Amino acid sequence: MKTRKTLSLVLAIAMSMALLTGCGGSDKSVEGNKESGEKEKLVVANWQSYATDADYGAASFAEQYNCEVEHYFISSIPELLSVLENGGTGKIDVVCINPLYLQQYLNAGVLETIDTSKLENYKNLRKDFCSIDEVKDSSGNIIGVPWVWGTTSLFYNADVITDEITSWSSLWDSKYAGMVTLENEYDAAIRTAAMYADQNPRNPDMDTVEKALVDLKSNVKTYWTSHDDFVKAYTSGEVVIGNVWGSIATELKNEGYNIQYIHPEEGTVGWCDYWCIVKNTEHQDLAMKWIDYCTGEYFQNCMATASSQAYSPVNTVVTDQLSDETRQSLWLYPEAPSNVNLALPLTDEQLTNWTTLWDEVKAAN
Amino acid sequence: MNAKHPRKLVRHLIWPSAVILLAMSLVPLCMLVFFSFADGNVSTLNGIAGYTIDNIVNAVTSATVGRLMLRSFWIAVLVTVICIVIAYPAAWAIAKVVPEKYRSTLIMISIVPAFTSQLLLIYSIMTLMQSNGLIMTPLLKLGILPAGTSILYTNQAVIIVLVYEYLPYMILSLYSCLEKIDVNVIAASHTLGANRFQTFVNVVLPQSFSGLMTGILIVLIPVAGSFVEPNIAGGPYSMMIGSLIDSQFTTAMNMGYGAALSLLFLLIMSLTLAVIKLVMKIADRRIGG
Amino acid sequence: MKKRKKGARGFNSVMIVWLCATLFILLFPIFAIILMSFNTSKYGALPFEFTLKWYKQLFQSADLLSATGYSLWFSILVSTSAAVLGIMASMALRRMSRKWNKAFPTLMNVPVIIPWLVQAVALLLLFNLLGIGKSFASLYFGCLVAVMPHSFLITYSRIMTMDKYPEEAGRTLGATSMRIFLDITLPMVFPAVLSGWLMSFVLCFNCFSIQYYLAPFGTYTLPMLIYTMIRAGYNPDINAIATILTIVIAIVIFIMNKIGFDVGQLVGQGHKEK
Repeated sequence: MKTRKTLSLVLAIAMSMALLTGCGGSDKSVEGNKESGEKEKLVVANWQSYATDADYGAASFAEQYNCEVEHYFISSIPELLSVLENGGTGKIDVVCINPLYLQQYLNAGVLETIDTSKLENYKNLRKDFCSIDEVKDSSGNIIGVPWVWGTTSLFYNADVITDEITSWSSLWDSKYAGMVTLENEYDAAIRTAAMYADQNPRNPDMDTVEKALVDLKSNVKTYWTSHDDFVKAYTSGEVVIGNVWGSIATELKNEGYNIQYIHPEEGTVGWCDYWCIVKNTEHQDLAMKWIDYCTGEYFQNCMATASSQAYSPVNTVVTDQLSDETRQSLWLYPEAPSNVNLALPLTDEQLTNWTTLWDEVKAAN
Repeated sequence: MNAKHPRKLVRHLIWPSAVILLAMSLVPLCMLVFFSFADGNVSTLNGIAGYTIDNIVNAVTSATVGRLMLRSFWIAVLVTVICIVIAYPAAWAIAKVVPEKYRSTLIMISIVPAFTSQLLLIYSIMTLMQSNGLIMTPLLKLGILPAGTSILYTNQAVIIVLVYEYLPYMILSLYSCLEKIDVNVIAASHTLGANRFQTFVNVVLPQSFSGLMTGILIVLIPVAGSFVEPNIAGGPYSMMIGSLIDSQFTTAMNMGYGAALSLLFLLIMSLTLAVIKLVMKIADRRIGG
Repeated sequence: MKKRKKGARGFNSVMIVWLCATLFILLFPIFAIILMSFNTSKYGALPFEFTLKWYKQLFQSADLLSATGYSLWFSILVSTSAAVLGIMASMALRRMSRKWNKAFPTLMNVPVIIPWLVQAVALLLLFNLLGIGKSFASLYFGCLVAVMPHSFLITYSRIMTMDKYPEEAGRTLGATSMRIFLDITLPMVFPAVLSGWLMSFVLCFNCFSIQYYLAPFGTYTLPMLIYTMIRAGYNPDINAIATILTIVIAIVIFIMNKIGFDVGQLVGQGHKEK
């Protein structure tokens, strides 16, 4: 008898939980039902909270073109490739990738070439970003369109550090032992170390870089892996100097933290993200419209002036019109840094060497 | 209906589990062995580029791998032992000391943390541990710890976070076997003149071996393979083997090496478990005999 | 508790204090999360300023709610399947040879010792070969095989040590096999089954790596959604959802207690039932 009571109770709990979940889940499916069938749906793979999922992004685009936009949130670019290779093609239409991985994607045969003459805004985009070799396939066709860029440069907490910092070498200064943080990412770490050690960041001497990074370990407090990781470490005062994305520095500055973000004299690590169209998409036209929209003045301007997560525009018309204030907050004041070392793709062999080096550094005693 | 017939038919009920087990666990395991010989990455479009023994040779001979394995192993053992030490008395208290009507409530309360996302929990624990946080502030103010001490981003922090995450599982495992122990046997042991310690070693402990084993299984292995916790809560000297394996699959795109490392890791963990089982068996026999 | 020896009381109080301290420490971060869900500062900075804005935000965007809902019902589905499979296999093993009884439980340990990350990658490759790729079926089977052993091993050990006499008696009295199972066997193993169910529910709810690799496009479980959010910075509305979840569980515990539901049976293997 007791067991029967127990049984019914468990069932009741299960049902109430199912009910609870039903409430949460239902609104989404209703939304899906009334829309699907009538409107074309574009699936965009991008990072979460990265401009396109804001109101001025997908929502506004969907309204303007009377379609639906669904996001597929990615958590690492190589992983996205394995998703595309393993059945994602045909489901995802547009993907956001870093040139570091463009060639890998191209070799894997998951990308479509883009006819840039059909893109109205293409002519206004920063030429240096559009023309790198890595966004072209072997016959010179364009496969990626830049839409946002930024730097992973040097930050410091101006409340703690009163000296003027101008060089990466400050990270190695024993004054800052136990206060340094670096992004847990092989590409930025190796290129930063290469600049410090006076090597060519594109093709440094690996032993020198490894030695520099291992030396740095005695100064390092932690390697940060995500936005929240960094924010936690910074706001709790555990780290005061290191490298970080410009957008995070902007956000913290806007929140009232006395964070300084500089482009060191040796150069700075830059990145630029590109839109690519996935092979065999059924929504080719809509995908093109999406890319054009994301490089257009409205979107680019909103992105640069967004209150919480602002990013540097690639549309030069927009950049020229930005107020000094916006430029300052984007760390583009008075001019955008000229010594930006853009992340470029590595050969398979380099990729292995670079990632192995970074793993060795982190594992070192 | 023939009464005997269904009784034989019952045997066939094993097939669903057996098939799932075979298809979802043993087949992937074989694939893993196969992939450790793959040169570079494995993709379903391009297949395997070639075959090599290098992955396995590298995994076994690399000093880095050895160091990481050792660190992971050491941290995992430490976390498991701490979990057992904390969970044993707690589970005992729930099973044998508190009034019966509160047992259910207490056991449910102890697994509440498992319903919160692990990442959230990690961040929350870290907030408490940071130098201006709730735990450190009084310790620093009272001078118990020297000024400027910070526990965050050290191996200790990683261990604390892991203990937090896995403690509920250990309590649950231990509780379910401690609960079965007959109080009368303990009373009898006392009557026969055994002291508390002797009673524990001779009566209670052997009967809790099965729960200990479940607990160890459920704590030791995931902890040894963890990579999120050391990445978030650890410092420059906290990397564990899980991070290296993860990086082969997600950044280095070297699935062959990743598979070889996983295999090595698997082998070491299986051996460890075999040793633990053996020790328990011997202990059980010696106590019993 | 009978009075056994002098000092038993003192020993028991130490145990109780230890238990309270453990639970307090264990729940402390949860309290912190609950507190922060009502705090204005996004970064958990003090002083504390009360706000409900994170709850408002939570109910405005359906993402977190629907992901939580999905995680809950999916975990219920998987753990229930695991429980059913566990009972079936255990019943079958009772009628099978020693060899099977040695081999099968050992095999069941295999998924336990494979790290989830590795298991997930291997399964993704397998499912691609089978042509189902990332889909609900892959997600379901992936999570099922990860939690099944825990459910099975608990049920199995109970069934094997179970008193066979009541069943024999039932059979002598002419009850059908189905009746015996429903009225005698199931009630006897039920506590163990529930215990396994609970364990697999919690494990399934949290098995991020497997969900991450195998979930179909556009489907987000709670751990997956939080993971993608953390890269760009999460808002305390995650704290809000965690608070709501905790409160729901607290209510469930409270109701269970009120009804007098004895979880001594739930997790323990119920010696008093013999």
